[in-house]
Amino acid sequence: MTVLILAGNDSCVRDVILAPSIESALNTKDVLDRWNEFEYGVFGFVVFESVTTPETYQGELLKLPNPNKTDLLLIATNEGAKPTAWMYHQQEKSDDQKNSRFSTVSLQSGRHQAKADTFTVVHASHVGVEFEDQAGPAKMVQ
Amino acid sequence: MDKYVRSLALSSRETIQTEHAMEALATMKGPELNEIDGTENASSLLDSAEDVTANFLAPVEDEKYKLPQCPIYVYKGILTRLSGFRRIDDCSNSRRE
Repeated sequence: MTVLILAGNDSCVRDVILAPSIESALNTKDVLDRWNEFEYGVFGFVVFESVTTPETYQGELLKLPNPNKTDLLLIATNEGAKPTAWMYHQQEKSDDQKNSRFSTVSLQSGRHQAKADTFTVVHASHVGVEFEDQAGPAKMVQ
Repeated sequence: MDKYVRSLALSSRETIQTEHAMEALATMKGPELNEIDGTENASSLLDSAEDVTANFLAPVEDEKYKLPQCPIYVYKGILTRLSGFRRIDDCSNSRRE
């Protein structure tokens, strides 16, 4: 399952890490170091599937580092179709039983559109890789 | 004085007419519902039932009014790229073809 893990800060996605699975991305030291360096938190992930039951991905969402138990974003996109998005709300009961639920949301990108703002899209295996003709880590920036 | 008496009489008559109308509405009997005999009739009635929901609900044209907005902002550029991404399996299959 190819995924794009979304990370960033200030409620804004700034890092998009492409990986064959969530585990493989989280097992890549350079990815974790990068998020630590920029103080990024994980916001969720994107799957390239037509999703009708987001609950299928609850297990994958729970694998994401989310110490503050914030709401996570699940985006499904397939063959260029308009992405569908859900927020995953995680609440913890007193008996340690986790009660979760998904709600469909519309994506918004109306904030942080200043030209100085950038985002990075990179494959997990390329994070931290430096090239001779490049000063910083490899990244595709818009 | 005549004018005052006339206006008083008119307002009393209107009040009485309104009361009669309200009473008629309250006691009016609507058309009786057809009795359903057995499941066959019930299913045929269901088949012929028309969904009139749209006649009562205003159409929602813009999706952003339908769904709550995501509290996490995603750059438009990221969304544009998502539409260009394909699964790695798909890419390898298409290369083979």
